[in-house]
Amino acid sequence: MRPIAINQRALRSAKEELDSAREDLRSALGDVDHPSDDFPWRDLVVEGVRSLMGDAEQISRKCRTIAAAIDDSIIDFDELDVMVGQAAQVAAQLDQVDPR
Amino acid sequence: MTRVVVDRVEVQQDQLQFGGPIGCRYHWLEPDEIDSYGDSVRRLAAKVELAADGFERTATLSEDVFAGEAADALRARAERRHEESVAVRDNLRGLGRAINAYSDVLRRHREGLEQLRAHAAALGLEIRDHRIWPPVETIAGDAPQKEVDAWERDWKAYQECFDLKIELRDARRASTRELVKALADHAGVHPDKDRQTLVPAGAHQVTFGELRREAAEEAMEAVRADDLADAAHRTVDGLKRREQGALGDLEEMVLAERPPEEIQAQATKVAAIHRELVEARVDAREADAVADREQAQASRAARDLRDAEDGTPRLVAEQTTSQPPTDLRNRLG
Repeated sequence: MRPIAINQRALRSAKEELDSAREDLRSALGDVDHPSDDFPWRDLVVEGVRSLMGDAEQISRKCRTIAAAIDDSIIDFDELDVMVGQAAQVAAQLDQVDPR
Repeated sequence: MTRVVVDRVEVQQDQLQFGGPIGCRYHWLEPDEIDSYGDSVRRLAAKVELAADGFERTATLSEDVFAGEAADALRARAERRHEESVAVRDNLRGLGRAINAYSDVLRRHREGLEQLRAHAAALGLEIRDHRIWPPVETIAGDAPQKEVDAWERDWKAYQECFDLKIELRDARRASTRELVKALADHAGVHPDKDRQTLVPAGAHQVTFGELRREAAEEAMEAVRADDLADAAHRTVDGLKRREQGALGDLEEMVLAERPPEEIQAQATKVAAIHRELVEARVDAREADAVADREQAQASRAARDLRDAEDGTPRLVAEQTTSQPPTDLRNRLG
């Protein structure tokens, strides 16, 4: 396995970009105002736009999922330090056990 | 030739008959508002592009920033999301542009109707309630020649206006095809899927081949989505087993008092597998949702086909050419 190298600042920056994109996307979704007055093919046009808005909402959710995954990665490595420290402590304690 | 249409406004437009009043007022949503609607769709496309950029940035995080199995998995996942969001952006942009172009079509139609009204007024036809009215249908057989000539002139003027109106309608319809194509290409919606506006018609008007093809394609997509969901669940199960195994090994290593660096390496491995498992669970949930959606579409296509085969289709055939009553045309000689 390759060694893990991590630049938390760069990861956080990537996460913030996704968070910001998600906010902008949600705001733009709220700005789409479907026409209520009639015109030829209105129902189909609105159905088509709604369908694509559903896709855009999915993208917004995926922004959050990937951002959360990045966040988890950052936190996981902090936790990993703790886990390794604990494992070392256990090993040290085992060293001190008198087998007699 | 018949073709399948469902839009109620278009059905209403088919009722235009020679000898009846000719509407000359634009009474639909203002083209500027439709243009704004298209703009809002394109603005949404621009925001999806920001998300696409965000995914791309994550997908291209360098090894210096983030390396290891978990990093590779995250990059691969972000790359998939990047591709998906680029496709959504392109679709939104394409449909937004088509709506903008359609607003121009309706703007031209409105201008055409204004010109038609002015033309009818110049020809001396009666305009009332935003309609151009036909001349009286009959004239006394013993009417003076001057009156007969005037009557014929009025009918010819009316015919001219009627033909202009048909031209306007047909030009608008021809331009509308671009919009309908964009809706199919970018949003996957088709006129014959719009259940609300369909009305019963005879079974002979249904394109069975098309419905069968659609039902078969939808069924195939549902099976494919189901397979993908199964594969995603198998991945989750496999990772669960790997995680349990790695945790067991870690425990044994600690109990066996292995060197700390070995324990650290094993703990790292456990953490990496766990992250993969979390992602695989998310992917599996998404795959389940897609499979459910595809199954619903397949069921709908199968239902449409069954309805058609039972002789209860919901499609209506449009008469694409108007047939003026012959008695009135004959009067024109």
